[in-house]
Amino acid sequence: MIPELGLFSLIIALGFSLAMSVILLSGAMAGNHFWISFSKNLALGLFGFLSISLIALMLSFVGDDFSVAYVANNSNSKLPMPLKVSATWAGHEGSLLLWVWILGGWICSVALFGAQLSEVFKARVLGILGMVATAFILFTVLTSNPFERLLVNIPLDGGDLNPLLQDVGLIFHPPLLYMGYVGFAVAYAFAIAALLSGDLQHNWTRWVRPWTNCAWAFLTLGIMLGSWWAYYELGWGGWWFWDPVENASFMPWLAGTALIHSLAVTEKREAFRSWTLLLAILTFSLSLLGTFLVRSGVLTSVHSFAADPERGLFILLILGLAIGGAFILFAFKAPASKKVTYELGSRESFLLFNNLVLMVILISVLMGTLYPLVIDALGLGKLSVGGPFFNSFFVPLTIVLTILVGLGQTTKWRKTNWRNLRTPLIVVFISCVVLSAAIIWLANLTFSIWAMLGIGVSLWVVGLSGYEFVTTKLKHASGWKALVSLKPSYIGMQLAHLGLVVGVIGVTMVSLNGLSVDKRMDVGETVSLGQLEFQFMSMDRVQGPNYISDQGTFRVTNESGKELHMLAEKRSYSVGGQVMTEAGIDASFTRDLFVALGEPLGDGAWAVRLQYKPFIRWIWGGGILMALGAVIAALDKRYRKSTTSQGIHA
Amino acid sequence: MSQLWIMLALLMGLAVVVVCWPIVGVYFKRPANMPRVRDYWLMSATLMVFIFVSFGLYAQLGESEALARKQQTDQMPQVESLILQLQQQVKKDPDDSQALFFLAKSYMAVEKYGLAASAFDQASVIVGPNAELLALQAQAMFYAQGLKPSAQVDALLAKSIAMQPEQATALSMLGFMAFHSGDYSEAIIQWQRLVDTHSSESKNDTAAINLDLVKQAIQDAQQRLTKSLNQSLVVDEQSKAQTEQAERRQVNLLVTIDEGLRALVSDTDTIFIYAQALTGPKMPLAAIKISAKELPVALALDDSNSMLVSNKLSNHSNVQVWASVNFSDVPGLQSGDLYGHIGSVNTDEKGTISLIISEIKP
Repeated sequence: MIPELGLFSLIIALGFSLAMSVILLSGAMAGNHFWISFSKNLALGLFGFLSISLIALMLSFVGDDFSVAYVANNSNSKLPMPLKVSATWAGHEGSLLLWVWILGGWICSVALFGAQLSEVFKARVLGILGMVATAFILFTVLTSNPFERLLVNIPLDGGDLNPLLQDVGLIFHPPLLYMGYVGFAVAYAFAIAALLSGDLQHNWTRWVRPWTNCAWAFLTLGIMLGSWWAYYELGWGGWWFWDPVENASFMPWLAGTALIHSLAVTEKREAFRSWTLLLAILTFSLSLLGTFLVRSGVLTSVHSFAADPERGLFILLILGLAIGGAFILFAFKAPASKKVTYELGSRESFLLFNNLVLMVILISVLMGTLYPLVIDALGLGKLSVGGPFFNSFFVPLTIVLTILVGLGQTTKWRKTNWRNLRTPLIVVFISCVVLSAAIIWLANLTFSIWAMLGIGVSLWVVGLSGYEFVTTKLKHASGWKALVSLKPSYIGMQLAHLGLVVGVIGVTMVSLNGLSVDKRMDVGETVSLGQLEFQFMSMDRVQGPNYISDQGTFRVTNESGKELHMLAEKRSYSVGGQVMTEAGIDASFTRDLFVALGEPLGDGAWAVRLQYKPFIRWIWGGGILMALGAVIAALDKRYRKSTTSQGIHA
Repeated sequence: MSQLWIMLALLMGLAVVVVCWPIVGVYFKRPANMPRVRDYWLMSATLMVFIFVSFGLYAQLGESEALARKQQTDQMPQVESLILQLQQQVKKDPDDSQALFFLAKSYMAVEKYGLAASAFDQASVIVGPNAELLALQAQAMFYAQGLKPSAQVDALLAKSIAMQPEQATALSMLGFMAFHSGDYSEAIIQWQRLVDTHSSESKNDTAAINLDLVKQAIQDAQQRLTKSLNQSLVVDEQSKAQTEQAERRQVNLLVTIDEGLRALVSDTDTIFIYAQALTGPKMPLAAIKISAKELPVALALDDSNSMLVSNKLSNHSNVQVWASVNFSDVPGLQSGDLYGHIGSVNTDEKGTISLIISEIKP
């Protein structure tokens, strides 16, 4: 009965979302406050019934209800309980339910916490979000019903969850990613609502900034978690593969990053109005494109799209309506550019350059991701665009971007006094060159121009941030007082930029100074990696809850003679028979040691991959700092000031 | 199943309450700009559409009916548990003939025919002689014996038919047993009787018998009967032709004696002329006894001179022939006896073969 209640709740939620889009949009258009007064209840109802639906699906997993086809395909009675819960979103149907549930959550938050918005404007935003929700719930109900039953030949046991996904990373990775994707729907809805109302003179951007920051923070965390999960679960120690699925999430992130900065300019200086609107639409469009690419099956193969054309076409239709409709609206109602003056050396200019660089990266990633799909779809053969292509533009452009970050936060709005800035810039520049050379020499790193650049630009941002803090914040107050008086938006910005620096250092170090060796190892054999010695101690067979594992024990001796033990596993899952590599990882602040078992080579010997990964944790640490910065910035009181008195009216 | 619909209705009720809450607020607060009556009408209409569309969509996508059917079959007691219940009932009340009857039927359903037969037997002891019970018992026994007829089964069926000549199970069984033993005509007779007596009126005991199936069985039996009749006709004609041909078989001989040996034989000496199989027993297939004075003689060996009913000359296409002068009057050649022999003669050839007595048994 539970799955039936889940389905019915989903249908009721569809009714709520439909009612939201019709009642609230028409109410806003007609200025009917009676209709608008339903907004909070409709949003609550939508989220409430989506929650009932999601809980029903979870209960079906927990209760091993294999009469539900989706449960039968993605779970097994032997699966540990936390994984049963996370299996709820392991497949297509459940993922979509989670997607719409999170959208419901965002809608509910806008309805409850958007008190500073005028009623009419809020109704419009909610109405547009209701339309997005209607499209996706309809898609779920009609083409991807997670409650579909197998009432004949109900399997006694399920087909099991893909072992790759039997991991804590999976429990959090999709929800975080979707929180990001879907969160950008709020910025999109704000932009469309502003375009619909036609009144773009007022600063709608201020209200949308915290929502965008939060969405971006979630997306950042989701991407970082995905990268971390790939690092330890896929088994070979890579942390970014330029895989189309990764790119699908990276593109909205790039657009979102541009949007955050563009929003700042529009809010503070009322410049870039149209550009910001366009970015808001673009960011959500890319989120939809990401969902389409991953969910339609296009990425695995262009042919799998044809295998289930109903789903693909439906998402394509949603994409067409959401993006096409938005751009048409933009074309007709985009505000005429208001004359806002700023000089070439101003902060506005640097933020514009920042946006430009981000757009160049975005377009290149988009091309690299879609080009193979287009070639495949046209029947011109299969090709894959790999790391070298992406790195060839991404690495230099990231360095340019980081240099711009330093300059952007040091310069002033409208006009920068370069005469005052010249000396500090030269000092910081020379310090960066000297310090990075010194670091490379002292830390015994391999010297290269990329190492110099990576470390140099990081120091550049830190140095200029420090200079800016000292000259502006410490000017009026000293010491703790200055620190306490810092606004959350400022702290957030600095933290996020620091996160970028930390990430750049991590990437530089691990890419240029990491060590890796693939060896055939017999039990008892010792292999050297740099100053480390790895000894293959033993091989044991271990029984897990739903797998049998070959567990190799390695003793690692570091340069100072200190010993540690690491376990690397090769697991064979009993239900599906899949074999999984569980790498042994010894993590620390400055380096990871990584041991992965390959294939058994006979006579007790194994193919083994040994890796030394300096500063790899800094990559994810940088991501966490960025996300934290975005959230702290969103907490700024400025965004919660009521503007109803001067708010947008129909 | 109604439980599910109650839950669905409750969910819908909750949804309606959530939607309508602002109206309640408006009613109690009575704000300055009260909604117009038209707004209420629109609201009610929207709500109606909301409810109907939700239930309609669920009716399309939900599995409530299939689920109800499944729950029904899930709830139906399994035959095993039914047997257990009936066994307990019989244990509690051994005179409960109905429980015994259903227990026996349940045993039949799970192919425990021996137990079924004894349960039917017990039931008929309680109820007294009953044509249907007797027939069912016979049926259970027949199955329990591995589809082999027995005097007991025959007796039970005879008793049943004697009590009620048109007893459906008994007629069905008689037909089936006949069919099983290859007696198709008898099977057709019994089944036809069953169809004739039961097609016009509905009788209780025919409920378990599907007359259409019986009619199909009759057709099947008829087909088999026709086939076997055709086969036996062919066999008859073949054997008749063979017999005729065999009956025409004979060996025409002209028996003479070598002039050199003629002096050794007196006119009264007995001469045996006989045919022997090429292999097998030495007993002559056909034999003629003459006296020496009759020589030379033309004669024919055929079935009329046969000595055995079971092994005639006509059974053999080739034979060996002998003519012997037995001085001792004892069957079989003795030393000093005279004889003539041909190793192989085709019995189908009509020509006369010369057989000369020219040898002396050493």
